[in-house]
Amino acid sequence: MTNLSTVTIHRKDDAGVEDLVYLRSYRALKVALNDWRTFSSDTLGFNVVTPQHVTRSFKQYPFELDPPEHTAFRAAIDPFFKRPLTAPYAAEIARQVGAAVDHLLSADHVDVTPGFSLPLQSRTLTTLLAMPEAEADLWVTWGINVFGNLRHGDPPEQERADALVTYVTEQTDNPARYPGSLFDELSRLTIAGRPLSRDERLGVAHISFSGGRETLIALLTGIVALFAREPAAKEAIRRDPALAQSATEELLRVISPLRLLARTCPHGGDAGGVTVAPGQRLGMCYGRANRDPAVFADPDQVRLDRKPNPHLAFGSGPHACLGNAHARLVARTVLVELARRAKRIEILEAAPEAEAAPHDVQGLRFERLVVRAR
Amino acid sequence: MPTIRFREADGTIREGSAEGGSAMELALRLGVRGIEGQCGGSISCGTCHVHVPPDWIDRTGPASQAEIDMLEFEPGFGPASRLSCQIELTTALDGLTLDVANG
Ligand code: HEM
Ligand code: FES
Repeated sequence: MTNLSTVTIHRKDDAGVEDLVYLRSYRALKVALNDWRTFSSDTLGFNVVTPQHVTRSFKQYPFELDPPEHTAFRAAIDPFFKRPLTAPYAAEIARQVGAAVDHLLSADHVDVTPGFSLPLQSRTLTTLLAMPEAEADLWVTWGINVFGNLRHGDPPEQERADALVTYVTEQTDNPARYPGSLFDELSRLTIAGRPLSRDERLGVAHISFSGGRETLIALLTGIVALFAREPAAKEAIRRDPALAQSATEELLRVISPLRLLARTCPHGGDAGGVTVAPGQRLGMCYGRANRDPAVFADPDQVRLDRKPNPHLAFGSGPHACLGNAHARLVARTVLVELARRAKRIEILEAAPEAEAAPHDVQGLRFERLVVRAR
Repeated sequence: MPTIRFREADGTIREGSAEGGSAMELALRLGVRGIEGQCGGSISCGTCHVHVPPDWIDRTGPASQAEIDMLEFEPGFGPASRLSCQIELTTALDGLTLDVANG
């Protein structure tokens, strides 16, 4: 039975790409994310809906693997990505967030995404990857859409995607340059007694740069936008910093930094009540599922104390985001620090992102946001 | 004040007491391995998954529908599963040992 509230099928004319089955309901998406046998991630470049920017010859690891290979691979790199749960790591992030907030409060005005979110994302990424902080100066020059996969691309995006491949290749081939860094760790890691291949090391590094970039940037810009639009939200977190935890989850739900990825059905199967043919690709609509009224009351409302809040912003199941501890820590730290220090954030210019495609969601997402903060 | 124990995946026991607050919060203070409590109790992360011994379920109460929704696809999910952030520490729970689901 086809249930259109669960699944929508778009013909070439609508989506402009190919016939895709879009999983938009919470339940259908969550079931599919956990059913890797039917909904495979084992591709090179096809886990995004419009893969026109695949400039790499290696997979993104462990993102483009299925269990059981995925399981062992992920378990091996997991401890490195759990470091954000430690106190020294949190202190380092607090320092980096403090410096970014200094700039936001002292500049006459700030174009938030390039002037605050991008540099802060890149600086905090040096902490996650255990690289010298000065490397961020180079990463920032790559611009916003390095991945190039999440939006329709033009040639400059292509060049930036190439710059990323060039960079991770150079670092992967010189792993001892920065002892303790991701590149160094990967060169010494073993899985079931064997070292990682060069492609595997390239693949982890590539997704570490691309997966955590536009996503965290969108979340950080959304935080500034929230405080600018609703001073009461800022005041509530200033009075009760513990509120930053549920607020982070609610912003993840409403913003859904990653709104859409894809899976492939090698053998066909059932997707939310729709029979799909072998080879069919599916659109996984994290953003839409996070607004499903069957799960979230008043789904378009931002409620900073929403509980329960079982959002799918980081996915679910075997591929649930490996960078989630880092992203959560950065977001919480920005919420608390900005609430504590900013008296007033004034919007000088705001161009909200338009809802263009069936997987899109609106709210706290901006093409451009310029503020004056004091 | 109730005294609660956490049994980590490798069998290590950590014990502590707290009046009020959740079992997850106590576990974080004790540094229990396998309890991360990343969402601070918003039922968003599932990183506080524990198993309650069968003879204690009537005192802790069973998992709510929201907890089941969060945990149903997690490895080790079963009838004894709870989110420890949703277990309020009261004197009725004195002597409880919770098994940590994740390694
Ligand atoms: C707010 C920020 C972020 C959001 C919303 C987000 C979202 C996601 C989502 C939805 C997935 C699941 C993909 C799937 O279902 O196939 C994912 C996977 C992943 N993310 Fe993130 N992400 C964020 C930040 C980061 C950061 C900072 C990193 C840092 C390295 C990162 C690295 C990864 C990796 C490696 C995977 C693949 C995990 C696997 O396949 O096992 N992400 N992310
Ligand atoms: S702490 Fe996140 S679900 Fe319990």
